[in-house]
Amino acid sequence: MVDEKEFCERVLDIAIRKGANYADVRVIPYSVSEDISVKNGVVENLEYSELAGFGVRVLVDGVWGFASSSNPVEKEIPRIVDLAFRIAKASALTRKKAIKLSSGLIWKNAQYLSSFSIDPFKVSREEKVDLLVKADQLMRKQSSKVKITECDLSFNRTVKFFSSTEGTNIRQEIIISGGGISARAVEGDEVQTRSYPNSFRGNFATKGFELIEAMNLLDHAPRVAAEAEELLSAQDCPEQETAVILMPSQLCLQIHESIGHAVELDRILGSEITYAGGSFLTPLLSQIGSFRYGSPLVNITADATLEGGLGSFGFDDEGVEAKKFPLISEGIWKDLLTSRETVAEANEILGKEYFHSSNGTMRSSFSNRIPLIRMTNIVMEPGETSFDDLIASTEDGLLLDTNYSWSIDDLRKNFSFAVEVARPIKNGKIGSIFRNAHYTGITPVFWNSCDAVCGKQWWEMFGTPNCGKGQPGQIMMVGHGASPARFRNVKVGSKKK
Amino acid sequence: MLGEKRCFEILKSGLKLAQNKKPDYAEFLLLTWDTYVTRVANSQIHQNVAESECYLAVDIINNLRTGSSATNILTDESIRKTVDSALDSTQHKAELPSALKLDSFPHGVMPGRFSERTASFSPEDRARWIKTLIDMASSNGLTTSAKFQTGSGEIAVANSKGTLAYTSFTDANISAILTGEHDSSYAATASQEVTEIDIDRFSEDLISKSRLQKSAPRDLFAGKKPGEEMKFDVILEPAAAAEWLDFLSYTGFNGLAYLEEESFLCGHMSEKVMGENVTIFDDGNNPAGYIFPFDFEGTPKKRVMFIERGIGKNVARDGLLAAKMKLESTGHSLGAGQRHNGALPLNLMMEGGDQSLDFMIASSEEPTIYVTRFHYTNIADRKEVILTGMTKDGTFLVEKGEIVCPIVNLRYLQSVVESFNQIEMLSDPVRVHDPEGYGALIPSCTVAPALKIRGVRFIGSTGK
Repeated sequence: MVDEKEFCERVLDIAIRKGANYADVRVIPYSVSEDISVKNGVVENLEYSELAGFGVRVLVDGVWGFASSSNPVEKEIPRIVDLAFRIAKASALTRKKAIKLSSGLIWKNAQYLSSFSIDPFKVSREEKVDLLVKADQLMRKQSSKVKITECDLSFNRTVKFFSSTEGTNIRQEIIISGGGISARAVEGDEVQTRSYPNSFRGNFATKGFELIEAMNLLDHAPRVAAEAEELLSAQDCPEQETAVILMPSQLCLQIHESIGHAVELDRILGSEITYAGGSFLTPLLSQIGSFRYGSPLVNITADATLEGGLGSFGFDDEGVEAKKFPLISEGIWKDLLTSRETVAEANEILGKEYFHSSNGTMRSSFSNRIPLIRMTNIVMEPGETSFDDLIASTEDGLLLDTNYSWSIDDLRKNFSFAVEVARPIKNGKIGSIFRNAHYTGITPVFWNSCDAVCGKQWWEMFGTPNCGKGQPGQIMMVGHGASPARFRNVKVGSKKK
Repeated sequence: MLGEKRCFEILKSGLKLAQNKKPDYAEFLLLTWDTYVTRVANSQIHQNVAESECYLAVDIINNLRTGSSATNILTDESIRKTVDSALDSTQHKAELPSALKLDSFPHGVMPGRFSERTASFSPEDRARWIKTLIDMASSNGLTTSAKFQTGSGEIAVANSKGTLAYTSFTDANISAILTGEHDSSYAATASQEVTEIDIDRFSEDLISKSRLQKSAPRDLFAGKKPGEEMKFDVILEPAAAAEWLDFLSYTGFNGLAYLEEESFLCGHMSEKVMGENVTIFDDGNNPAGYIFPFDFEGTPKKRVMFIERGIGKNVARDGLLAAKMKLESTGHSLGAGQRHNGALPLNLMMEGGDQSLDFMIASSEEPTIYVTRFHYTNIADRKEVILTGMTKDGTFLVEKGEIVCPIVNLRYLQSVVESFNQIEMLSDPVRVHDPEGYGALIPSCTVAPALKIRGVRFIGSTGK
């Protein structure tokens, strides 16, 4: 492959010559991943993969065309640009109005490198496998009822170039690390799982191997196994309407599903109806700036600049710089996740310039996908309550921790979550655990019932590495942060009733 | 498309590089695909994309130690690096409990269903078909959202035991949601031969269904106390039935879940686990679904019965699970680099019955919920296959033999195993294929009937 910058220039030269109103190209010369899984003492997976590709997006006569190839070599350029043009021309057959892009800054030779202390690809495989095998042994040693133990590590390094006909060119290099452990206890027909630091392969961040070291997996392994066993003989969570305290990992997923997706402007405008769905905010768009989404304690920020956040980057895939901005302030809905295209469309609906420019949330999962509006790091700002006071001030409630499963309707309104563990709180004291707990609710009702949020000391970040959207589907890595918070009058029960 | 010759060259060169290091076993899987997706929102094409992709995955097993590597760069240098990386990965400490058990080693081209017309269906062709749908819907006051995908793909497998197999295939699928004054309606259709799709008829049928959304949907949970639940009989269209079937298969028919005591079939094999009217099998050679002649290890596909007249019969296995269970592979390998995920049926079929959807409606005297499809289904409990999700794009109340009114989308929380013990009626099965397209294009789909099921648990609605 020729120099990436030169490659991009050749793509854009052809696009301009063919008459594109606008074009951009993303080249990924390499994206390397290492995944290691140990299950019941056996290295079941140790995979190294290396991917490459480029994708070209052209705006022709006010409509988009996109084509991509896994082969970023010169001879592929004319074919892919031609195909993108042909596709745009075909799209024009149904055009009702031309796409307008809001203005953005031009970035010349910009660079971004995500921060890390220990390059995970320089840590030996032996060390990584040893860590997982030891954690696995500790879990299995703890309990004979733990039948399945799983320990995972994942690392990725992606280099990507972006160039546009407006003159922007950017090089970004992002390193992602992730890992976690889980224990599954089985007795008769009962199966119970505990995980650390999160379910579904653990926690992820734009950090190096220091993330894994900080997890102290070996210290937590015996507890995880013991809790899985304890759940086998625990009572089913009773049906009730009560206060719930969501611990940070579960609250992060609650934010993801019932706020993060709901405030994606492309969903609000109908772009995702055929797959991910719409948003209950669509008919409320004119109330942006005044609609009460949550109680005054609810402050939600989108922050792509957050150090270590899984949704952190330097520039989005339209070349817009990473930004931090409030989505919900003191419970009032203030902003949306936007793109250059959707800003103009939303302003037209609103009949005013509410949105001034894209806030930089357009990302694609790889060079073979178009950028879509995606969450960055959507975080709930910490409150002022101490965790001890939160528990002590709860007369009757449940503390819910670690997600087991999730589901939400296409408007992001009716949600249902199951958790690995529930702990009853009576008169300010935590009791024995319940199993099979799930809770349901309606998004604005739930967020308006928030009456306490713990302080910064208890605030934690979690990465969501499996956020799906788009057709063809795209898996995106996004980040969240939260401290424990309490919500009143939530419907809770056993998923096995 | 690389063609069989180039695919075999790549596999042979990789195999030669691997065998120079004399591992116990080497396996290569090569996938290529060219896909095109045209997407519609607000009655105009808003996203329109093309993708030319490939994926070469390598598994090496040496002294029971396994290593995997993958790439989408098919240069000699990259293939060498991929092989070296997989070999290097076998140097770690832990070991597999057993070697693979493979019994079939096919050689040559195994025909899939490939249509030149589908493979060459152009962006202009897709746009014209989409415009037909949009125009017909618009003239009925309906707004169109849609996805139309066409594509072609290749699967090639080689291993050090002699397998060298290739197949090619095509796919065309279209799904659409029409939104009117009150609510939305959904339909989808698919074929490996694009000319088998009749866009005019598809559009007419969907517009006709949209007419059922004749009034504002009623919220069945309006006025209910917090926490109050309801049970209804349901009529599931094939798309909804297929979703439950796929989750049942994912959690219950995966041989790995069975070995790990997480399948509902654990301890109940050869026992009655569902109603006698339930027969579920996988068949990659049945044209009612999509043709998938061999799995990703090269094992030829055959009809594999999982549930026969309600009796648990089998689970899906690849070569590793076959070795662990001391049985044969059922031809359900997920391929190099994916063995840790077990084995899955990808051409699932459920036998139907002779009751039509119309008959199911006409014979429903008591309040019954008619479900077009589900949204965001997820697993609340794996062992009992308890699922939760929302109804979507056409949920209706049926009573006294008629569709009474559209209703607000409902949330269910229900064990599929329990429900498949409560099936009252089944229609003719049809192909259900509306792929999400996260990874490679593969010839996979589900064939499912419409179902009438007693007593499904509903715990809320979008409105409540």
